Amino acid sequence: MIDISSIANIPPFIIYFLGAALLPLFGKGSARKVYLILLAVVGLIGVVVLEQHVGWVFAVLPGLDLTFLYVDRLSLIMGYIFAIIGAAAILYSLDIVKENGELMCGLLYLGSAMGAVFAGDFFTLYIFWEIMAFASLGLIWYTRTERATNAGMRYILFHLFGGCALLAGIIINYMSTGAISLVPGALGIGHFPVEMGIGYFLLLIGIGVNTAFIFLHTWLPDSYPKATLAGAVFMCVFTTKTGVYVLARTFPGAKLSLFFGDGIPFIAYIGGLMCVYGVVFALLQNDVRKLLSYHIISQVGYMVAGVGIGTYIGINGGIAHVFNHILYKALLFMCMGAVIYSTGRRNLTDLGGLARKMPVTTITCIIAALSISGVVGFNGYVSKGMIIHAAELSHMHILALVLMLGSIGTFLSFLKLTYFTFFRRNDEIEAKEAPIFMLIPMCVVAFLCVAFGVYPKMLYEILPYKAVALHYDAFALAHTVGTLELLAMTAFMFFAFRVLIMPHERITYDIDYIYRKAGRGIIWFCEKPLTAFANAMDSGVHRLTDSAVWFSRNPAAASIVLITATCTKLRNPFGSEDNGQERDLKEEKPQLVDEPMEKLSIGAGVMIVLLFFAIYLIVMFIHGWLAP
Amino acid sequence: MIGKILKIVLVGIAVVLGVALVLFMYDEHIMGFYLVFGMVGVGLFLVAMQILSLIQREGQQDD
Repeated sequence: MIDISSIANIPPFIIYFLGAALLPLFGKGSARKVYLILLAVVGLIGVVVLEQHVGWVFAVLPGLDLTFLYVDRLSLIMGYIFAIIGAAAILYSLDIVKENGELMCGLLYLGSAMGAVFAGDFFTLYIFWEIMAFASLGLIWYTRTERATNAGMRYILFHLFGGCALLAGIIINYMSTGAISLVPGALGIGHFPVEMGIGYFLLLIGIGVNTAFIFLHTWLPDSYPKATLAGAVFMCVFTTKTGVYVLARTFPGAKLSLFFGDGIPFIAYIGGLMCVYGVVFALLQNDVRKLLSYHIISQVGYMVAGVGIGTYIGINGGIAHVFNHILYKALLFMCMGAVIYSTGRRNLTDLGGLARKMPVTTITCIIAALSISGVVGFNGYVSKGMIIHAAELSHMHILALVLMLGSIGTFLSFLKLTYFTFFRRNDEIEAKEAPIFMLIPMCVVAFLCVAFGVYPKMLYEILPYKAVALHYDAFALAHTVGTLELLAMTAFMFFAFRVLIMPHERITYDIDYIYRKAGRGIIWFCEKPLTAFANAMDSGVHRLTDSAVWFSRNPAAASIVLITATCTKLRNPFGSEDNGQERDLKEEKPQLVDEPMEKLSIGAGVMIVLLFFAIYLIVMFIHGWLAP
Repeated sequence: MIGKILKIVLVGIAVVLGVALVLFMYDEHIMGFYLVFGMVGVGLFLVAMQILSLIQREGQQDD
């Protein structure tokens, strides 16, 4: 019997990168299915056998090492959930993805996310960060529509901007603090030194793009709905959660000092803003995957708030929410992918009546909706409660109320999604249940949502601060009853005011409207005034060179013409340009210059050169003589 | 349009009063806080949706 715990620690990204490289060898038939299932299993085992340690260190420059494997409790929990949902996404893709290229993009994306969370230093992290951006771009472009191509361009532009900011932040921070390693040693998670200054804010912007901070979030609801059905399942998991992971490493509990006091934990309040902002925009959406995309922003807001609070229970809550959110959000994207696959429709206004036709999808979607809404007995309830509890313990009561408000909006939004997708009467719709390879991962993930909700101790065991987590009572009576009251009232209000929440075919403007307008303005500026200026400069330079050529043909005659013209102008500065003298000069100008020059003999030329040389020597002599 | 704005303002005032009540109840830990908060929260979202609907335009929700 093989003892798998004795297998050496291998960075998990190698498994997935190698898997992607070998994929084309297996064609597109059953062999590919078997290979992908094996790859998913090997990837899971590869993470499970990892032990806490630092390895795979390569010296690239004196004093600069790249560490490809750093395993601690934080990276391990991220690795577990990435491997679980990666396996589910691979299974989900088996029947619906036809092109190997799309699967390779998915595997590279999964591998690079693994590489980022197990990176031991910021440069290694940056390398995987960029691979993630380009691999996920493939998942958008494989939709092969003009909308997807345009959205992909906007997506990659945003991520290149974020990547540049991150790299600049890393370098500036490295120059000032010398810190590059993410290995915290005895200090624990989140003790990476970041010095206040331009590097601090560039790092924050770089991380903020991936984490979808408000004002940097527009790439997310723009691109995710346009990704392929399987691609969206991959995409909803890795980019934003890797951002939260890096945030937990670098900015837990970060405070910004204003004019007075100790400073405010601004990251936590950014999270609160994200939480409500995402929900409000989600409620306005008609496209089911756009609605889910806005909910990613909202849910990531909870994680950012947890990390921003910065206490042990806050970080635990944030990371627990990463774990739970990945489960139910991937499940929601899988369910909506199944609905789009079966019906060809993606707008709530066109859907309805699917509960009888797609019962498994309906049940799994309801489980995911209850989980994301934080209903008691489902996994979202545990982690959301932990974050709100952390906010109250830190006396951040406004933040706690904002996060509870986010819960209300989330439940409202998912009542809308499930009701208008599955239960509203629609006799026209034709659909049948999704293929078995789509249903299996959906059922497994739905089971996990319930399992972690009913028995949260399984999750507490793998959280970064286990001892603190084990002291948290998720099912405290007051909290449980309070949550049920809150959600019951929300459900009542939804059915009472359902007409106001009806989906409509409308375009909702987000902040990207301003960016796009500004972008069009920049293009106009480049095409019109900038091009006109360039043309003016071009013709100016041409005129200058023409004049130089004209002057050099006969410098003596040209000088006479220029002097005469200048004197004429000085004598009559306000006179008309068409007076007789100037007209004569214009006529004479070409003739004078075209006259042959007076030629000097060679001896005279040498004399002039010697004369200038003698003057030069005298000047140099006087300069040397005068010099101290 | 003006009627719609007036309606939003009136509902907004009601919601603000509700928020004040929620904050008071939260501070004093009065029973039924979560029920009131649920009601006020939904009201807040409905008002926010109505306000944002002013800058929406008809069409497919694509780009």
